[in-house]
Amino acid sequence: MSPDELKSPAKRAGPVERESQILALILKVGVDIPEISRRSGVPAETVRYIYKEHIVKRRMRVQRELDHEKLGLSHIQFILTADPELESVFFNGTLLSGVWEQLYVNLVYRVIPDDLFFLSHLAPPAFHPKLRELYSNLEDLGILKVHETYDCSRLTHPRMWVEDYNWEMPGWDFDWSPTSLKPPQNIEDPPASEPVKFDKTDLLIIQHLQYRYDQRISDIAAKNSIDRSLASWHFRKHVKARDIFGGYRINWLGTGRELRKGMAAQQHQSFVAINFIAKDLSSAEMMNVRAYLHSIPYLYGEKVGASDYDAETFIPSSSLVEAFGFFARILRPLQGRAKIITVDQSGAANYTINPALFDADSQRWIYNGDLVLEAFKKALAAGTLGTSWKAGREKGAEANSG
Amino acid sequence: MPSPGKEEDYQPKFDNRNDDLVRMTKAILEVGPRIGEVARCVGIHKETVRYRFRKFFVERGLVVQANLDYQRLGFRRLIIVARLADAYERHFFPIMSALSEMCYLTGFMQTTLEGLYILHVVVPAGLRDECSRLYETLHKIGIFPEMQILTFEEFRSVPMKPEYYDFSNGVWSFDWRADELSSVTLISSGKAEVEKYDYTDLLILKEFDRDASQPLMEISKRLKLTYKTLEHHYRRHVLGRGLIRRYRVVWNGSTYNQRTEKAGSMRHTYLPMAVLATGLADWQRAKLQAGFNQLPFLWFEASGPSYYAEVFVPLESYSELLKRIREISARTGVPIRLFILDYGKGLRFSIAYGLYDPERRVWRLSAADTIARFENLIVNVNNQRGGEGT
Repeated sequence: MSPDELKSPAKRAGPVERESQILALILKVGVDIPEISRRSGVPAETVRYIYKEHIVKRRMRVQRELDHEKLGLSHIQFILTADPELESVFFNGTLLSGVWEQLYVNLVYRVIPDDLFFLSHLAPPAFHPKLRELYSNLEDLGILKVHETYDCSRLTHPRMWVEDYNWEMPGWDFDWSPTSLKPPQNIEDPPASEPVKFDKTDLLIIQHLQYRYDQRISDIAAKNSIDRSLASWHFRKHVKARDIFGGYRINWLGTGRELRKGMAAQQHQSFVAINFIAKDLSSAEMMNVRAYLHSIPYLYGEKVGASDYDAETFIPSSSLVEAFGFFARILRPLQGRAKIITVDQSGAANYTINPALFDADSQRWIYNGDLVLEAFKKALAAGTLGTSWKAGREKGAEANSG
Repeated sequence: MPSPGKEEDYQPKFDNRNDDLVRMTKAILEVGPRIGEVARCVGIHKETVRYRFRKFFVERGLVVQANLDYQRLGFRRLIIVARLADAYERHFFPIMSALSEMCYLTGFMQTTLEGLYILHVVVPAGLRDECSRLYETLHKIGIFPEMQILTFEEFRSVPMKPEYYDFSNGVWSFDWRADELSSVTLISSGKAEVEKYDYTDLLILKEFDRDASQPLMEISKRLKLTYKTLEHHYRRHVLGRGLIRRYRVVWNGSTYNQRTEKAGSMRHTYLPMAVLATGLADWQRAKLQAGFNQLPFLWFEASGPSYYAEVFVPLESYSELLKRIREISARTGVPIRLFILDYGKGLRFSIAYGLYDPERRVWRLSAADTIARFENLIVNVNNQRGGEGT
């Protein structure tokens, strides 16, 4: 759908086309009902109704791409085995999940059926060597074993295939046959950004907008005990003016966070999270792999490094047979440098950026890895490692159920 | 409609029927699709059993096959995990067919992601070492550049667990969250004495291995034997000597092509997977076996120093199965290798009756002929590639 078509109010669309049209406009302008109505020619109340009934109620969420580079952050990933007694610290909902937030972890999940954990950190590049060292120290302590490290620094989310989305299913009626796949000739990545100035208030606002971009700044201010006008000023002058958030994207999985319950819905029955991860790729291999992964609508996000690559896909369970065939065609030529891993979605946790790791006085990100290491050492020396964390987990579970 | 005053006794018709079908299936697993006997076992009218067998089995593609008692036939199983050299990949079908004709290959599947082949070789016990050496030779001459040969003393097709199957809708209902059973009673494959049998018995076994619901008359016509001879061999030898050990209901959608004598499969419903664990202590093997036998989706298992199992998991239960495998692996402390299987590149052959010498009543294995045939293949492929190169 070209921008011209979108602007034409005269063009009347059918009910399904209309929903796709609105979704396409949301990707351009966000949830701006009057603007969508103006551009599409659909009455504002109809747009509002469709947004509420067909998007919000399906738990699809409109989010904005956070430009991590502007905040001076980039990703690094570790695949590791943990001491079985310490597994509880890797799960969300525990009191001690805060340990990982101290280490800039933004994604943790268990790989099944292997007993592996995948941890992705979003930290200043200067801290990446420190994180490697920390893991090495934890290995020496016998707490965990790192199997692989990946430098997939930039995260992007491909545009949702709005035009092909089947609202009846809902999903994509996708033809997996190799002849039907049309890998794009080239993939346009957003240009690299330079770090910008920001402060702790900006980060607090950003953290909340990462959950849902359609939150009111006044609500965010109230939650964080910030003066409303001050929060608004920071949002306009810093967050917005410096374009810290990039384009709009849609969480099409239907796992949007229920603000009232404060929990994300699990849809692990309908989609299987399968990640494709590769190391030491040449630039030609990288291009080829990415082109193939972009030829399916189920590519949700990708982290790209100089030679490492991590793609996050959500495959409908009904298409698993075809999807494995698809992955096999990409994997085999890479001869052991790539693999696919199945994510245990029931224990996976995504973290937003942590403003507590930004020092307001020095206006710099801080590194607490040494403190974490010390805590581990003390716990080991006291013989409380494992049992205390288990107790902590139980408390956490009680707190959650309460 | 329930009569007045009897509402508390009223059960929906569907539930009763499914219970009847469960009992009927269990009877079929014991005695085969012999309608009269099944009707007697379950106490349902013969015509009702016949109707239900046609409606819920035949029309839904649930074939009943005989489980041959390979122990009584004196066979052992090798499972070979091998990579076919790239040059021969496009010839995989003739290569596998040749192996089935000459080297007791009874089935193979390709693993989707790794591109390996899992070969099932069912070979007379006396020829096991020779057969194993023959496959090693194929590895040395470059047909299979990677090869791991695993020997299994016991193997079995796992009986269907009909209590988890909803026959009306053709779906499984298994509660993954339910507590695991503390113990599972496994039906031992037994280590029976080797029985006598002849070529005609093998032909009958081959037919029943394919479809146990075939009438004897039909089989006699196909095998060009008189009905009397066939019935004598069937009753006296096949049944009398216990060469068939129960029956299996092919619930995983595999189909059999009568013309080509090859098994195919129905995709899109189940994801076929194989699990392999090697270097096991006895207690680890027992725990693995118990863990997998709790799943209604277990299709085949073999144990020896290693454990191998094939599982057909409904697509929507894929993640749950992986979680369960992780738990089993953690409990036993055994790393489990998992393969996704591509049944599009897999076939199952019947017992290798062609390798039985009816005159001398012995099984044959000609290593020299096999090697010569494969060396000839290498020359042909190399010539072909040379031709393509020029």
